[in-house]
Amino acid sequence: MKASDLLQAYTRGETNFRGRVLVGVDLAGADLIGADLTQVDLENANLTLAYLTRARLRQANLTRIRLGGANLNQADLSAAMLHDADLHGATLQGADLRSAKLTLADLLDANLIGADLRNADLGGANLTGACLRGANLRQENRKYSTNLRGAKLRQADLRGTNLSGADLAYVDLRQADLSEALLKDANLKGANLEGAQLSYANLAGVDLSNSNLNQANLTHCRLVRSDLSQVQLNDCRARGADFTDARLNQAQINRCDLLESRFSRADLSRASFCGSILVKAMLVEAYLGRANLTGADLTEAVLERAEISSTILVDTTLTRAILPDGSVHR
Amino acid sequence: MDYRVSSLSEGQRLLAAIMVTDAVGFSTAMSVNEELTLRLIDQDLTLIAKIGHEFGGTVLKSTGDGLLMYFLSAVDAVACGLEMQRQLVESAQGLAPERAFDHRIGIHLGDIVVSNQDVMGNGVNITARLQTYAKPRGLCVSQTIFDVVKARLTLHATFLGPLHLKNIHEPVPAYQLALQAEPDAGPLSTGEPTYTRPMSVDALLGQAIRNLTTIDQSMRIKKLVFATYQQAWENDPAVLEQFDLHSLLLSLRERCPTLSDLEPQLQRVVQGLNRHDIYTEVAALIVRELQPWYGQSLCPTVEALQNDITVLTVRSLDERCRLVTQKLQQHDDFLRLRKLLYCLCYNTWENNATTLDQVDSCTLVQQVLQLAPQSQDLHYHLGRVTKRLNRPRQYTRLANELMAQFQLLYLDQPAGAQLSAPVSSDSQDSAPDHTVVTPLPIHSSLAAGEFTTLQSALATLSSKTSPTSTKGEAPTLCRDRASLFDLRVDILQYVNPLRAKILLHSCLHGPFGYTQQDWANLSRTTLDDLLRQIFDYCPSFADLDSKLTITAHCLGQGSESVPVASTIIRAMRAYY
Repeated sequence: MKASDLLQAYTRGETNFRGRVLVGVDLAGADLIGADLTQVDLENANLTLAYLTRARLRQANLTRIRLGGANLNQADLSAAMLHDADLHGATLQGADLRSAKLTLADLLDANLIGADLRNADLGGANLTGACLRGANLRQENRKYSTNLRGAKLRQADLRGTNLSGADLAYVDLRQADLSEALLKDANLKGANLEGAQLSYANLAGVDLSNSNLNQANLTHCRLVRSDLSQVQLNDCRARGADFTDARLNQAQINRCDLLESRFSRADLSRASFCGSILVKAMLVEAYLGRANLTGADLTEAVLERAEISSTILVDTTLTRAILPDGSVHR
Repeated sequence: MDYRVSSLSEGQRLLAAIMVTDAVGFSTAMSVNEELTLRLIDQDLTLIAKIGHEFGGTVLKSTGDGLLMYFLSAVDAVACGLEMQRQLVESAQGLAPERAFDHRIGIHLGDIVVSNQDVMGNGVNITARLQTYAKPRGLCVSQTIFDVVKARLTLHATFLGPLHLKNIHEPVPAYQLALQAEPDAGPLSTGEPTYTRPMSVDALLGQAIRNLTTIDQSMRIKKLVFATYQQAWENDPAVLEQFDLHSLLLSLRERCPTLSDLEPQLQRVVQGLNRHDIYTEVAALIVRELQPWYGQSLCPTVEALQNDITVLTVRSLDERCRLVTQKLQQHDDFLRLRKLLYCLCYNTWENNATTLDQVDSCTLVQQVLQLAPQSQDLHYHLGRVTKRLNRPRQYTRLANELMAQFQLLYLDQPAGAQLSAPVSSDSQDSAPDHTVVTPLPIHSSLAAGEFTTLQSALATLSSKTSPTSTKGEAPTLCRDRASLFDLRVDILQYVNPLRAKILLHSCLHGPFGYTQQDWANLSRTTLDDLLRQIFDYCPSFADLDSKLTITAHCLGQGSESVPVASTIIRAMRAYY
């Protein structure tokens, strides 16, 4: 089928184009609002700046399709094949992308507000600057999870996004906004979160081992039970952050503002807190074996039953702190 | 003697000729001989009430040393006033000065409102103020009254010019009426402003204003006076136009009763300006020109004014503030109203309900009243705030409701004009985001060399702010450019991201050619990067507005750039 035939048929009022083969057609700027393109083959086609609002593209083959700036609001793209597709600056607000294959797709600055991306495969996709506010990326069942492995999410807007159980290993999330996002049990192993916004985010039980969180904002972030071993957490703002029961062995947490943060029962062995503010922090039963607290301020911190026998406490301020034996430091 | 408001029922309005009488030197006499004074005043008021009745007047209430009456005819009211003065003078003849009172009478046409057993209304207040301009044993009537009666009565009138009455917004032209012809005045001099008082306070102020407005610095003078009074710098001539220097100076003098109070206030503003050498001169000029006016006491008779304040407003200001607060608390959208009040007081937008809870609402109302002693001021400040909110329509409605409630506190003044909502704000009103205040553009559309910015005066205002919200949503006056996520959402929601990028890219690097090279360049930069480059490229909002609009027109119709540009401009405004 040729592009001109398709457009003529559509102008006549026809909307059913199920299963048509349209490989490599040029439909740039075309208006196909609401068209039924289920299972069509549009591989290599050019639909730059096309209007595809509410179009049905379920199970369509859209490999390497050019959809830059296309309007795909509320479109059905579930189980569509979008491998290596160009979706630069496309609008996909509220689109259904469940189980869509978006590996290596270019979603630079795309609008994915409220999009449904459950079980979608975004492995290696470029989501730099994309807006995913209110999008759903949570794990559907135990077997499958939304894959974002190695995806580029620099400057992406993920505020309040549900990413529970999603695979985000080795993603680039530098300067991304993840505040209030739900990342429960997600995999963020080796992720780069430098300068990211994580205030009020829920990262309970998350694997963040070997990740980079330098200069991130972790204010009131919930990191209960998460694995932060060998994490880079330097120069962070983390007031009121909750690290209860977290693993932080060999973590670098220097020059951080950790006022009123919680580290009870956390494993802080060989962690470094040089020059960090731990005023009023809760460190009940924390394990601080060989931890380095040089120059840290622990005024009024609670260290009840904490293990600090091998801790480096050079120039550490402990004014009115409650010590392991329950006494108050003078 | 008991004069109650009995002839009118609660809430009833009546257009009538209102008369207020007042005994000269009553308070002083009371302090000397209370018993005698009370007896004398009782005598006089009985006489006044009797004559009033004869002329068809109705006594509304007694003010202690005078009466508030109304007449259904202006002619009757003036004839009655003259008869009262005649009989009072007659009865005082041959008596020692301390055994008789002189009276002043003011007459004006206006609405009377009865509320809570008290008589109120702008007309009543104007009449009370006019009365203070009457000579002892004389009458002072407004032009409205005079025009009605001049053909019917033989009068010895002197035109006083438009009088700027305390707490009355518009000047009231008035006439002085005497029983006998003034020895020096002509028979009936209408129109020509022959002031009875040689160089009255008003004349001195008038002269000062004439001097201040004729110098080439006049615009700067107005800006500085305005900034000192409103605590906000305004470069927009259209806004300044709405305020006349006369009332600004009067209000400023109310706040700074002496020159030595005023000077540091001016200085403080000047210190915060970027061109403070120029404005130091301007400030000195203002002080020099105002000196003669400040040299004279403001009120015609202090005693008279004190009297009518205590008498006319039965409810104290505090009580009225509490009443207004109660009314506001019953409002469905009290939280938003409170946010507005908070913003007026602290010059910062607060979304955090807990912070708002910490501030007593009644205190807020009182603070706002201090900031905006006149309804015109409130109108200005609310307009300033609402036009920078991302939900201007909703808040304009609330601001108008707020103004309506505050009218109770501005009883002496006419109701201010309503704020009008911007037309093109529908889409933004529905944005799911928090309400955010956007600052005024630092630079206005004036020529680049001709503006002045105010920093410290505003800074001192914002220094009073309570801790900002912990969520980091930056409820500050200027949206923080450090994080552009919200800006991006504002743009994305209404505009195709690619089209937005094409427009911004074209603005920075020339029209987009849709070539492979252009696409490759576009793919290398993010919307965030482009927005930041635009901020650098357009130092002022006016710059941004014109550059993006021109670029949009260059790109032509096919690219839908014009609506894209206007959305981006609207969204970015918040960051200037």
